[in-house]
Amino acid sequence: MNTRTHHHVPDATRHALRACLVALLLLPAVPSALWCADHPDASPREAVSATYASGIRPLLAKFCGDCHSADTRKGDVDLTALIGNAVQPDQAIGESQLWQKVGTAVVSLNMPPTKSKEQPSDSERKALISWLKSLRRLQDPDPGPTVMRRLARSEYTNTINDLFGVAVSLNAGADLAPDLIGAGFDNSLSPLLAEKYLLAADALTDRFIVPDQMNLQMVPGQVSAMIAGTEDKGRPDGGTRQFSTPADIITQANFPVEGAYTFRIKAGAETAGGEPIRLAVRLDGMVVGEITVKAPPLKGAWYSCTAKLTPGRKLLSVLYANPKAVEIATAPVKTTQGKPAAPKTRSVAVESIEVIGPPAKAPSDVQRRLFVAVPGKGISPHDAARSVLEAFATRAYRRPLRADELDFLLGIFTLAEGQDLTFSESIKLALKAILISPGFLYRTPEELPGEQDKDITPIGDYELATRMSYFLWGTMPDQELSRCAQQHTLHQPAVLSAQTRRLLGDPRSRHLATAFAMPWLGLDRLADLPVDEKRFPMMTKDMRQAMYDEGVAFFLGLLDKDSAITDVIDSDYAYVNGQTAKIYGMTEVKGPKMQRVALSDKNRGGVITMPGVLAITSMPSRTSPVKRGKFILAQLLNETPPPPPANVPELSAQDTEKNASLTLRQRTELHRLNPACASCHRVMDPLGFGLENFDAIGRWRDRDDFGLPVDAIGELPGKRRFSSPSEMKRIIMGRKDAFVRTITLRLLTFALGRQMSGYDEVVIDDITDAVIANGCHLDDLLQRIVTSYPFLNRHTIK
Amino acid sequence: MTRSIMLSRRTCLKGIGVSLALPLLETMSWAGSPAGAAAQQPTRLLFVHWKNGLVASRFWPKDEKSYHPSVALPPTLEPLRAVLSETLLIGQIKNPCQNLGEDKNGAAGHKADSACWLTCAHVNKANGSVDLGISADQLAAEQLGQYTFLPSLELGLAGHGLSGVEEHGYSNAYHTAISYRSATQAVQPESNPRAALERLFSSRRSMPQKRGAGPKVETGKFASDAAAADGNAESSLDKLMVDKVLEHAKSMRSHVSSADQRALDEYLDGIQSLEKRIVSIERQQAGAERDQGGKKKAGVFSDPITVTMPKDGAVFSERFRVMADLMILGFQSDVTRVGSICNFGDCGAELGIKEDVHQFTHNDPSRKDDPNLLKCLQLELMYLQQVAYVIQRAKDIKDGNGSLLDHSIFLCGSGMGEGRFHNNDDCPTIVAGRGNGTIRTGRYVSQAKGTQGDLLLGILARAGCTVPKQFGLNGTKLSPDLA
Repeated sequence: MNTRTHHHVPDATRHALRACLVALLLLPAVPSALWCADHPDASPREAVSATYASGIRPLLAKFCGDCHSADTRKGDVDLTALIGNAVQPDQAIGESQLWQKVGTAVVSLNMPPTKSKEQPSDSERKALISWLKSLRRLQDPDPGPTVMRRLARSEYTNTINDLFGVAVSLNAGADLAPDLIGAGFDNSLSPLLAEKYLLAADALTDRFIVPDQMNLQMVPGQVSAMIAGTEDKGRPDGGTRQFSTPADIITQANFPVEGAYTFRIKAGAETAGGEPIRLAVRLDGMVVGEITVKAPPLKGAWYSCTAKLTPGRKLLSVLYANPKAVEIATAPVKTTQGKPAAPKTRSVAVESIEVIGPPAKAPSDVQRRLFVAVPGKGISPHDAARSVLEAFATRAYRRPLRADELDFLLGIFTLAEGQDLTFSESIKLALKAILISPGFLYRTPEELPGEQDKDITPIGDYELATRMSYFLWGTMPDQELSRCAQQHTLHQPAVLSAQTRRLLGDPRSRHLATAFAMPWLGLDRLADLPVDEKRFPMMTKDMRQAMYDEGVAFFLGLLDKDSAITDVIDSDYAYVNGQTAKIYGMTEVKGPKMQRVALSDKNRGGVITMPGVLAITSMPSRTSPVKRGKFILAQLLNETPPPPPANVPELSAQDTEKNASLTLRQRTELHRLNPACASCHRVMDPLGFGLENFDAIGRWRDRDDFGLPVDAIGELPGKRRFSSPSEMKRIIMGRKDAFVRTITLRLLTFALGRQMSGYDEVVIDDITDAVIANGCHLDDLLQRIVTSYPFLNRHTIK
Repeated sequence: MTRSIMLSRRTCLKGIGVSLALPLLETMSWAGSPAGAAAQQPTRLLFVHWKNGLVASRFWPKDEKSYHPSVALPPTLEPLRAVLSETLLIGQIKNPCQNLGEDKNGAAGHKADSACWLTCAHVNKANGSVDLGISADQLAAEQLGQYTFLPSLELGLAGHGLSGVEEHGYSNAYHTAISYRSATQAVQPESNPRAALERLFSSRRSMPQKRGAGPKVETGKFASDAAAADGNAESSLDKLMVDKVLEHAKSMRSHVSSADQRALDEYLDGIQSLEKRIVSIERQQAGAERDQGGKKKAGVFSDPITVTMPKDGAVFSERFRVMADLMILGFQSDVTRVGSICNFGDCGAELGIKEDVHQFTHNDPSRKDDPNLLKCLQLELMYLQQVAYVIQRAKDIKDGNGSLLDHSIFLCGSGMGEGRFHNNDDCPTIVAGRGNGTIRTGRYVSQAKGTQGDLLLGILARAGCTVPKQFGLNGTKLSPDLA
């Protein structure tokens, strides 16, 4: 057994932190004495200032002043600006960075260290935290840093699908590394990534832009020819070429696709010497077809031959190989005029050469949508290209194009067209440019009139549509959302609310479950989770998938009206299919479809007792109470315990003979003998032990891995005892405010794609309070995020 | 259970390929070598990292004299026996990163030993983004990369992404990447061997220009020959298109906020590399076509090379060996001269270890039968076997007048010393290869006179790089330990 446990040399800081953690972590909420209440008529700033003078300053001076004065400066922290004798309240409360430091130290319970004899009481600490909250509220609203963000892999794949509008997944981006959306998003474009985007653009455009049917028409006199070993470049006004010596008309041609090409040659010939007059069609020097010219000179006829070719640029030549010959009539024949016939010189006159490619296929749906205009009557290639590229790029960039952007794309079209590429090939090159440009690969802001005069601006409707669709769907806005943006109605509260509701009702909102909830709950790790399959043969690929699907179904189910977010902690229903029914012991549920089943067993229900969650918080062959306890603290209450210390070997005592007869519980409890370990494990372990009735893949059991009766009795600090998972969940439900704040923080982080800081904390406080007051509904929470200050505003480009 | 592909120049053009027989340097290089270096083979640099340090008592030899094949080696060092004369073992190498152990900001622990190894920097939380320093391999790639098709090749075995933060607020990139293009940009290692092969010998086809880039009539020579010789030759339409994308994106700078400008600059950096890559690929293919066109010179081709692609479910050591083979192939063909391999991933499975391997590093070496210790030693032995494999591979390959290893410097090690302590003042450090006669191998330096930063500076200088006065937090001089 290898429970990861830690001895370590007592360390003051760590010890302090843990001790404090226990002191507050799971205590029932104590009504805090809000000193602000003493100043009911003052402005918020005056109230904060007054409380500072009457309560906070003495508190800090008492507990922090000794170590963090100008002289002592422990940890390089000097709080003189907050508590110095000469400091005025107004100055002091303006030291936001220093206060943030104090806040972090106090909230994380890092300070004061336990070795210090003077410790604040719980109510003093709570009062400080509460005052810091009101201080935070004094700051001006700030939408936080907004950076143009690269599309994550899943967003890229979805957007490509929507952009080309194909039902079958194109799987573009399958070769990219996975991206987690939220804090710490890797926004850079490495050379490797740039190359992969280009290869994806190649593959997409190759697939959707089928070259036009080749239809090359040449006037021989305008093409160069080798005549008796001498090159004749031809002339722009040239016409028919006539040869009486061996000659070769030579040009280059690009054969766009594989297939049968027809070469049509209009020619007439003067026969002489009885030899048939032949022309050979050659590609890169190889003869691919031959024609015999029988028509008389100047009355040329069309002759054709066909050859199957591979695509590519090739040297095309029409070779006349008959040697020079002159035929003089042996017996002069009298003409109508009585003159003798002139001698006949063997020659050929080539009037025209055409190459016709394989028949073009009927345009596909994708092509019809793409080519909103084609050159033809009254519409020049350039105008058609403008229409095609503007329509596509506006969707790809998810906003109107700036004039210079359209010019840039047309410049690429012109570049290709100038090289005699066909219309669709030229469009192809410009599409590739769109697919690797920042406007597509990143969510770039729409330029707003007058924004340069301000620091902060409400985002434009296009940007709002983009934020909403990527937040809720993980893809670009659909037609309706784009229309709202185009009509500039999206920011209107009624429209915004209706559109949010519509987006949430759409199947694409599954994105919230797969990209947000699954990584949050760790269920995205199920597919690769190492499990001892000998011990748990039930843990097949299908079972892992079913556990994952249960998580998705559960989260999406929270969008129902009669569900509450707190169902995550405990619910009286579960989503079960034929696979997980084996875990739940519900023989009546069959088939692969997830069904909502009412639970009679109060020990089940919610995320904590979900088989997938119980599995990912286990070791490969047994349960891990520590991991399960940590999951509850970190994922549901946002109270991640600090990392364990490094410098100790495993609790080797576990493996001694003396301990061989101990249960896992008794062994795990060994590390609570060490006071440094105990501070965290006193909270983590009981929570985990409360779940010992579930084995490492989530099945109910009465006996543990060693065949001993399960001991699921636990006690949390504050003498709160429980004896079953159901009772433990009830205790956690008592901390539902902390849970709602956690999910709010996580969702806002996901929605904004960045770490939370500064004013975000105020936003999170507000949303949390409102959502709780409104009955804890997920759709309400999502609506509030979409209408939150940082979601609707950004810094300007000033 | 592997499938062998004998790769040929022909398959190269179809998308899966490398050469069966590689043209040797003089036919592959296209931009020449630095002045004065023409007489010798270029020095190749490879950095092979393993995570979590080592159990010191089972790795370090008793004294400097004991680093000899005739002496019984410590168990974890044993795999190096066959290549001991090609290696230089250095003890007491200090990495300056402070985030491994206890830190007032919370320790990054084992997750950061990848990040600090080649950067010699602290790893900062920076709101969940990357903030440390450029890594030595990327510094080398900036300079040596201009001579090769691919400036550098970063390979890995784990397939993790760079995004996200771990539970204590450090970027996941620190865990995933050992190579950093800049202080804020991690390099995603390629973990798919087929994709790596495709990178080395790309089958991508650019859209050509109609005029100028096609084959010419009389000589039978390919225009791309001329393109390779003449820098002003016309480029493909794709290259011109990317030029325009770049030019336009640059003009966007004035339309975006300063925060976006940084993002845009990173974008520009990526696209600029792409532009160079397109040209490289075109030239590489022109070279391949030329070989196909019957212009092979007798005697300038290497011996046949086989790269074995792993099947799905191949175990760690099999996958590592393919990556090592690909890297060696890249060096041998001079497609690249700088490489790094992140040697971690699902490495326990083939040893029957299911658990996350990190926990075994917290063992008790004083107890010989500590199961964690035994598992940890098994894992470490396997890492060292991989290191020995890549060294042996390079030793077996002829390169100019010696072996590839003679013209290489491989640095193999970890950013952490003893895993159970999270310390980094005695990091395992193995230098292999003679670096074109600049490294004295077959030695054990038990007391390093230089730091990790000095070591990296010393290695870069020996590979012909112009080195900065300071590298990372503790590189201030060229390490005196190498020669």
